[in-house]
Amino acid sequence: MKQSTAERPPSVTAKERPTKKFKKPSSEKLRAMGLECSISLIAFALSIITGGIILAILGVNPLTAYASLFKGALGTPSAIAGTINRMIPIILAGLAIAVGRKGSVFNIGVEGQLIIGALLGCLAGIYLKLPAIIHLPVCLLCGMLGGMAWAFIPAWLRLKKNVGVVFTTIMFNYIAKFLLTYLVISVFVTSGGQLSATEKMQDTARLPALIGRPYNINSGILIAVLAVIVVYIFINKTKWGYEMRATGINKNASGSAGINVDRNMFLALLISGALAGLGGCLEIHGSVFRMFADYSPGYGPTGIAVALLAKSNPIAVLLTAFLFGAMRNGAALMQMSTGVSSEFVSIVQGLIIIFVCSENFIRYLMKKAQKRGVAHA
Amino acid sequence: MREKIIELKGITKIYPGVIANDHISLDIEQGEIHSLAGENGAGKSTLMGILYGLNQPDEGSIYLRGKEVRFHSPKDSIASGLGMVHQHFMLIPKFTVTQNIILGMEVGSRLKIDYPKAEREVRQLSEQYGLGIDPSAKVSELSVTMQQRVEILKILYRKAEILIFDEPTAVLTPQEIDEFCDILMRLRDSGKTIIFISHKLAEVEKISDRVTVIRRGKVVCTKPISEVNQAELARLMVGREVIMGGGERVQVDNSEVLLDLNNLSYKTRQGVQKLHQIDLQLHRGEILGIAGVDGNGQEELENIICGKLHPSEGSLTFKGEDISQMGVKEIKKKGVGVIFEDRHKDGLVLDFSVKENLVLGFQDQRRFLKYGAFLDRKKVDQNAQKLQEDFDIRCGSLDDPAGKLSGGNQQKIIIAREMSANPEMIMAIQPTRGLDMGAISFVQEKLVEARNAGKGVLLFSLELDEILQVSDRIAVLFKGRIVKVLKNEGITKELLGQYMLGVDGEEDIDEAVNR
Repeated sequence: MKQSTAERPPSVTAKERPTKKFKKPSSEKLRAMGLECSISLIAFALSIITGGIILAILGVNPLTAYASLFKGALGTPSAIAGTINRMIPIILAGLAIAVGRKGSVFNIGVEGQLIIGALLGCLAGIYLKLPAIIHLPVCLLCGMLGGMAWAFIPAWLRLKKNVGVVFTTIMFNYIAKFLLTYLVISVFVTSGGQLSATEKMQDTARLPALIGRPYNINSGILIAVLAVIVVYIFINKTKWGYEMRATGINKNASGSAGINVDRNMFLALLISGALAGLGGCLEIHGSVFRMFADYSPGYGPTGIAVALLAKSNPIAVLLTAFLFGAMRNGAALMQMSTGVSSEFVSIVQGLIIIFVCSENFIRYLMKKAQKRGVAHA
Repeated sequence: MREKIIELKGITKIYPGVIANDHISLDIEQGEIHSLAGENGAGKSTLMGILYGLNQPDEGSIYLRGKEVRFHSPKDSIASGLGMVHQHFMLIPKFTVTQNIILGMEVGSRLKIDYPKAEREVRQLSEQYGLGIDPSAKVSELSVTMQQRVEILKILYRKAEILIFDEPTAVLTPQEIDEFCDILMRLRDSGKTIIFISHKLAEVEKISDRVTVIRRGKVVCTKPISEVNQAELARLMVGREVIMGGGERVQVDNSEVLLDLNNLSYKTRQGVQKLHQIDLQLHRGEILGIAGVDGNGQEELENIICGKLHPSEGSLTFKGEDISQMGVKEIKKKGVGVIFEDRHKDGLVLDFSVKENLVLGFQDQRRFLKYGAFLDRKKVDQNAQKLQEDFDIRCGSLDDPAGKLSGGNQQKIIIAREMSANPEMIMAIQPTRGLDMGAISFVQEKLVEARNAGKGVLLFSLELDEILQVSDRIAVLFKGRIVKVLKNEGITKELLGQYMLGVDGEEDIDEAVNR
């Protein structure tokens, strides 16, 4: 490439090249994107196959199990509605991880931030007396602030004391979990019975249904999709997103270019926390309407799998979140009809993380397959 | 005539869009130092990769001592007595020298490694070739030169007879290069055959017996070194006449002081005094070269000027304004452009596209934004197109990641970006390191152009040739002090070298040598 232009007189090359190259959409870029996609797809396929082998070892026909999983996820209109509702918090957990990763922060604390966000949003829904039109937005805002606050302490410790974010956020997950248990058992107890749960929130704080009975699709999906779009624009189109991405890839070069690296990492973690908090809120305000002990749905780890599979691309997060939502939703039917525990979905989720992380292995397989193809031709 | 130990016949290697090696034929004689000279991307490393078994040729054959061989992997070639020292070392920092060397061929029983024996063998090898390596030292504690010697020991330990060095001097300082050349000659004198890949002609001329010039994947010629000189080699490599020094200098008014360092000192947090009372003035319209052996305070001085560090004492002003406490961004805004030493670490975000890299550090400037927050794609594209034209950045597409470009073109991105903000001062740190001659002369031209336009250029370089070719004035940095400031008139390399070792400065020579 370099050699071919080396001896052309510069005046000619200078005029020709740019105009020519600019009109064409970069096929190079498309190819790279295709490669990224196919790696994720192969990782997913490998996880499904490995999961199938595990099922076979357990003495279950993988095909029947997967068929019932599929049917439970997408087989009927109400199954689809369930899948959509399921994917709402997953989208936001995935987005939270993705944003953090863009800014080079691995936010394992999404789980805890999601719990605290949900709790704060829920309390605002129970105790604030506001007109309907602003009550819900205020609740969602509280949820985001809650998630952000829970991310703030690890972020601050990182900034001031250089404490590893991974450790602090993991610890904060536990703190969040037990704090929630304590609060719903002894502080914000429901007057109704022995449930370790809060009161139900007021009607004004609830998310309206997008499509009503019998499907009950939660309008939170709109907010989730909106969040995806906003995050996408923020990351890819704004100067702040540019700085965050630069920081995420090369801290030295960013610092040398005058970008404040610490501030960007701090910001990435706070935004990540806010998204996680919003995710918790959307679930609580959309379908549960109260907080209860043991509200720890494992969205954090799911979010990691979602973001990894999506290569931290916000738009792709939407697709992978759909996949995980479907699996979780279908798991119940699978458990009923084949006796495979719904926890099997977590196994597949773990497998996906493993296979996505073995990207180099997949690249190697693809290269080999390509070579064989060439040899045959 | 000596025995031909290696013959390459008609080696061809085609990568998508590039013929990296085009029917290359080449003989290596037993016991010679054979240099492969050529610009970056000429195909030297590809060729050696094929010889070493890293890549398979599409055509052609390799003969070793007259017999045709085929190396499917380095394992095969190592078994046949080849060894390669890569440009990037392949050592495990936490292991000792011995552990690194025996890795993969440990001595002793199956369960236990016989370290004392291994260490003895390593020590003996080190002494035999005068490498001066302590076998029990940890690699992480060794300097770059020493690590390179460990790599050499590694292949000697594997009984290599033919040693391939891929750009070995790129990571060394001038003094280290001299020592390295001595080692190579010692290896040759003990009967080893050496293939030396380089584009630094001084070294090629100094140590080779024969040289083969490769240009754009083809052999230009193979000649005994006595029949060519450096200038001719340069012409053969580039394919045209190259002139160093950056071209014409016009008379410019250089009375105004731009950057003023006054009694500036710097102490690290641990209390180590890195810079002592530095007094230095950079004027408009001049190139001030800072010469010195690496590690004499250059890094601290650079970091203070660009705003990464702050002086402990003294003043630092730019156009009369105190900038000593300002950060990187503010100083940049005042009109200081910096070309950092390490392109990959400090200069570029390699995964970003070329056009994204061309706005790095200026992403929040009005000229690239719309509504004050969004990067305007059109303006970013226009900026990239214009800079690509002005600075002749060669890339497949401006959307390609910067990491895909050659070193010279990566450097052009950085220079284009820094110049595009029209700074009044440019600090260039080793701006031509690792570049080929065409790119070096381009960079030097741009620096002189900036000088001619009345900007101030501060040039840090470890290459004496470059300092002497480009600078108007030269300041010598030694042990954190400016020991000499000279007009660049009639100064020889030797004289400058002496100042760099503290001779005739405030330090005496004994101390300098024992440093």
